[in-house]
Amino acid sequence: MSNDKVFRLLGMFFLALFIFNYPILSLFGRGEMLGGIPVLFIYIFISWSAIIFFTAQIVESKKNNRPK
Amino acid sequence: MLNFRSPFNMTDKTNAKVLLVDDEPHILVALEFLVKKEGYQAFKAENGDQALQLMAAQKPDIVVLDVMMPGMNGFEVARKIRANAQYDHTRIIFLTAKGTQEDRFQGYATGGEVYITKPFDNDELINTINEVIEFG
Amino acid sequence: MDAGIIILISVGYVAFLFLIAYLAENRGKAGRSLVNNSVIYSLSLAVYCTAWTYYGSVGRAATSGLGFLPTYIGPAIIAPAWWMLLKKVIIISKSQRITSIADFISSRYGKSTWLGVIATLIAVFGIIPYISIQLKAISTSFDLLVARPDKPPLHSEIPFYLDSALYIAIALAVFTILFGTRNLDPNERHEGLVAAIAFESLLKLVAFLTVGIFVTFGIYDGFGSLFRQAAANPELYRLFSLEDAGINGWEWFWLSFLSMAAVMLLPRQFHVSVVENTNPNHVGKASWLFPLYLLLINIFVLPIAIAGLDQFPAGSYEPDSFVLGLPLAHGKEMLALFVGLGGFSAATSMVIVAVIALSIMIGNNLVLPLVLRSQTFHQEPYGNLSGRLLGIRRISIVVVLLLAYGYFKAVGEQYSLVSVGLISFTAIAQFAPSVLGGIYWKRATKKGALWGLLAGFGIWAYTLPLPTMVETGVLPLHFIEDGPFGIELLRPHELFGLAGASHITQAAFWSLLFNCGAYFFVSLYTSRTPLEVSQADLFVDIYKYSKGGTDYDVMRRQAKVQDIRILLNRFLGEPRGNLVLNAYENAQRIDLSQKQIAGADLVNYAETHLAGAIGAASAKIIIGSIAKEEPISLEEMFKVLEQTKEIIQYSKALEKKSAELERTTKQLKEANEQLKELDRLKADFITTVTHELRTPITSIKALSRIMQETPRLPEEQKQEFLSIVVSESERLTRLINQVLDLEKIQSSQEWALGPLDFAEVAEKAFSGLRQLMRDRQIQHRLLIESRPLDVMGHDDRLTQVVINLISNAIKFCDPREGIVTVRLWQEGPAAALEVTDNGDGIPEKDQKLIFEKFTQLSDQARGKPQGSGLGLFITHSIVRRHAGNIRVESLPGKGTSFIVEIPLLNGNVN
Repeated sequence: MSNDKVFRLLGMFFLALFIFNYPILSLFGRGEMLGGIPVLFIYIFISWSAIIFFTAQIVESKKNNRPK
Repeated sequence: MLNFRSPFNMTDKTNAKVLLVDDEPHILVALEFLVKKEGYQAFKAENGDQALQLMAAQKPDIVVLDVMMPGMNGFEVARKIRANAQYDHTRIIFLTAKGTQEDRFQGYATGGEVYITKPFDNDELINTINEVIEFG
Repeated sequence: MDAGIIILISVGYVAFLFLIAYLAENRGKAGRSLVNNSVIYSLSLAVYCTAWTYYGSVGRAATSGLGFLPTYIGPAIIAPAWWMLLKKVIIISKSQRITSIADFISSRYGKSTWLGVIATLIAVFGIIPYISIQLKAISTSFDLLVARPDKPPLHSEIPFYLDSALYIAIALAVFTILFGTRNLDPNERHEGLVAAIAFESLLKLVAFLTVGIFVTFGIYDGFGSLFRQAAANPELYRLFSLEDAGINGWEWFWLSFLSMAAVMLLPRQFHVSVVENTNPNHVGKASWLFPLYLLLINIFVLPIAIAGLDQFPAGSYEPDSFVLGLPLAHGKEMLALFVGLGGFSAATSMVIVAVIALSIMIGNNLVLPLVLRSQTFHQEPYGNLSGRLLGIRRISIVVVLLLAYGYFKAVGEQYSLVSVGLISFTAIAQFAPSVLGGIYWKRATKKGALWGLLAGFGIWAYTLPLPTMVETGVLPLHFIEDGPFGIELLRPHELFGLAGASHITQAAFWSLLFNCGAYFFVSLYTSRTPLEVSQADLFVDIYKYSKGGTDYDVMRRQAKVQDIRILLNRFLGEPRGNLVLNAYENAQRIDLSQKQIAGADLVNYAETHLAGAIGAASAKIIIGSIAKEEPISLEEMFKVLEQTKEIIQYSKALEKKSAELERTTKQLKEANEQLKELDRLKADFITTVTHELRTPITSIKALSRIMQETPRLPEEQKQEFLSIVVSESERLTRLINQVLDLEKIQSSQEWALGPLDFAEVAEKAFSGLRQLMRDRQIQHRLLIESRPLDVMGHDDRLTQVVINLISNAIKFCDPREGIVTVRLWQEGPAAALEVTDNGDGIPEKDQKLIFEKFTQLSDQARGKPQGSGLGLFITHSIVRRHAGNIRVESLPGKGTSFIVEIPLLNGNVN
C-alpha cells in the first residue's frame, strides 16, 4: 500500500481542520459582502470544494508520482 | 581400460585431432588451451549439430563430449557417431556435470570410453586424453 | 391537500422502496451485486442526512446563520482521514465479524459482555431523541401538507390514539421489521436495504436542490438578489457574520468535533459504513463523494432560511418548516408534495437504519448475553434460536420506536430539531476515546474503556437529557437554576461553574474530558487478561493479521466436535452450519467426522462465525458453555435429542457417510499422487541446481589452474582468462542468490500479505527497467487498462514477479528491433498482467516444461542465455503463493506472452 497516499490524505485532514476553524474563520466572519454574497458563505463553500477536489485527486490518482 | 595397441589405430601423437563439444563457450576456452598445449589440433563445437558437421569434415581421433546440452544431448551425439562405421577409430570421452551412477552406465552403453566429471582436474583430463590417444 | 392522497403516496413510495430492495437482493444472490460499488456506498453513507438536515438546518440557520454548518463541516474535515481510519475499522470488523459499534467495543476489550451492554445502552438512550425528531418532522410536514388551520394543535395536547405521530411510529416499526428482520444473515448484510437507502439519498438531494433552486431563482433573482435584499434588514444581516449570529470559535470547534465523531460512530453510520461495506477500498471514493454530497445539500440552506424570514411575518411559521412552507405559500402544491416526499425519505432512511442497527445491538449485546447466562437456556436447549433471535429484534424495534414516540410527546416537541439532534451527537461522541484508542493504543484496558464510557455517559445524562425533564414537570425548575440541593457548582447547564458556553458545548467538553481521563488513567493502572491482550493485538496490528485470519491461540480450549456442530446448526440454521464446517474441513484438509475433540483452532473458528450471528460477547459465552472442563451434561442432553430422531434420517446419514468415505478415499489418492509428484520435482530441482553450480565452477577451476601452472602466459590471454573467471564467479553468485530466494519463498511462513494495487507494483517494476530497455533500444510500452487492481499481496515479491517477466522479455525479444509490452487489466474476479516480447517464441512442447522442470530454454542461434533457469520457477512459486496462476502463450516466430492472474481483493478479508 502506498504510504504517500496516506500521508497526503492526512495532510488534507489537517489542512481542512485549520481552514474550517477559528481563528481563520473569523477573518471572513465579519459580515462583508462580495458581489452581493456574504464573504463567509463564499469562503466556506469554495474552500470546501477545494478540499473535495484535492482529496479526489489524491484518491483517484493513477500514477504514483513520487520522485525516484 | 583396454591397454593393448590396435595396429589399425596407430596415431601420430603430434597430429592427433581433438573435437571439443560443450555448450559453455568458457569451458571450451579452457579445453582448447589445454589440448593445444599438449600439441594436438583442437576443434570446437557448441552443440550436437556443429559437432557432427566437424566430425564429417575433420574425422577427429578423440571427441570430448559434454552430456547436458540443449537440443541434441551428448548421448545422442555419441549414438550417431557410433552408428557411422567411418568413425570406428574415434574415441569418445564424456564430460558431464551429472555424476550419478545411472549416467555412467548410460555413458558406457552408448559407446563412450571414459567418463569425466565436471569440475575436472586439468591433469587428469590431459592424462586421460594422452592415454586414449596412445592406447586407443 | 387531502390526507388520504398523502398517505396513499407515502405508502406507494414505501412499496417502491421494497421493490428496489427486492431487486437488489435478487441481483446480489445472482452474484451481480448492485451495492458492491463505491458510488452506491457513498450514497448509502448519506443516511447521515436526516430530517435534521432536511428541515432542521434551515431552522437552525434562521437563528444562527452559518452556525448550522459544523455538523457537515466535521465530516468533510475527517473524510480524507478515512483512508487510514475507517478502512482499518472495516478490515478489523470484517475479520472479527463485528456487527455493530457496541460489538466493536465489546470485542476490542476482550469480548466483554459488560462493555457490550453499556455501549448498547448508551447507543439506545443516545439515539432515542434523534429518532424522535424524525417522527416530529414527518408528522409536522404531514400536518402542513394537509393544511390544517394555521397552528395545528400540539401533539402533547391530543390523546395518543388520535395522534398521527403514533401511527407514523407504528408504520415505521412495521416497515423496519419487514426490511431488516426477514432473515438472519450471519454477516448482518442487507443488500436490499443498502440499495433502498442509496435511492432515498438521491431522492432527498434532488428534492432539496429543487426547492433551493425554486426559492433562490424562482422567488428571488439568484443568490445576489436574495442576499442583497436580506442585507437591508439588520435582523437578517446579522446572520452573515458568525459572531453576530451567536457562534464563537469554541462553539464551532465542539460542534464540528461532535459531528466528526458522529459520522463514524453513530450506530447507523457504523452500520452502513462498516457492517454493510462490501469492499474496504470503497472508502477511497467515499472520502470525496460523501463530502461533495454534503456540500450540495447545504448550499441552499442559508438562502431558504433567509427567504423564509423575509417572506413570513415573525412567529407565523416554525423555521423548521420553511422548506415546506415556502412552496406552499406560493401555491406550488405539487412541488410541496415532492419536497415533502424528500423529507419523508430523509426521515425514514434514518429511522430504518438506526433502528435496525440498534435492534442488532440489543439482540446480540444486551438480551442474548442475559438469556445465555440465565438458567433457562441450559434447561431448554431445543428451541429454534435463530427464530428467537429474530423475535428479540422485532420486539426491540417496536420498543425503540415507542420510546422515541414517548420522548417526542414528552419533551421533543418543545425543542427545535437541531438542538435535540445534538443531544444524541454528544452521547455518541462518548464512543470516540474507546474506539480510537482501541485501534491505536494496545495498552488500553477493558476497565479503562468501561469507566471512560460510564463517566462520559453519566455527565451527558446529567447535563443534557436530565434538565429537559424540568419541562415535563418531573423535576423542579430550581434544579437547573440553583443546582441540586442548592449546590451551584452542580448546575447542569453550568457544570463546575463553566459559564458562557452553550449547553451542548459545555456538556461535550465535560463529558469527553472525564471520559478520556478515566479511559487513560484507569487503563494505565489496570492490567489486561490474556484475551484482552490478544484482542488488542488483533485490532491495533490488523494489517499483520489480515491474511490468514485469527491465528492467535491464547485460549487453549477444547470442545467436542459434536457440540460445535450442534451449536452452529442451532444458531446459524442447519444448512449454513454444515457449510461453515465443510469449509473448515476443506481448508484444513481434515475430516471432522473422524475427530472427537476439537482443538483451539476449530473452537476459535466456530466462535468467530457465531459472533457474526449473535455478537462477540454472546458467542464467547456460548462457546464457553461447551468448551469448559465438563462438557458432558450439554452433550448428553443433545444425545437424547438425537435419539428421538426418525430412523429415515439415520439411514440417510449412513448413505451420506459412505459417499463421504468414497470421497475421502479419492482425496487421499490424489494427495498421495501430489506428494509423489512433489518428490520427483524436488529431485529434479536438486539435479538442476548441482548442474548449474558445476558449470561455472568448471571454467573457474580449469582456467585458474592453467594460470597457476603456466607462468609465462601471454598477457593478452591471461586477461581473457581472468575476465572469464570473474564473469563465471558472478554467475555463481547470482545463482546462489536465486537459490536462497527460492528457499525463502518456499519455506517462509511470515509472508505478510497486505492490500496493494497491482497496477502500482507493475508500474514501479516497469520504471525500474526502463533505462535498461532504452539502452538496448527496445521499444517498451506499459498499458494499464483498469485501476486500481487491488489484491492481497507481498509488495517485494510481486515486484520480483514483474521484474522477472520483463527481464525475460528483454532477454528473448528480437535482438534488432525488440518490442516489450506490459499490459494490465481486470479479468473477471482477477487482476491480469501480460508481458509480451517479439522474440522467437517457445515451441509448444517446451511450454509446459518452463515452469515445472526448472529448465532453461536456450536459443540455438545465440548460445546460452544468462541466467540460472530458476527465474520462472521462482515467479511461478510467488504467483501460486498469491493464489494466482501463470501461463504462457507463444507462437514460434511471433513472440511470447506470459500472463499472470491474481485474485482481486473483495469484501471478505477472511
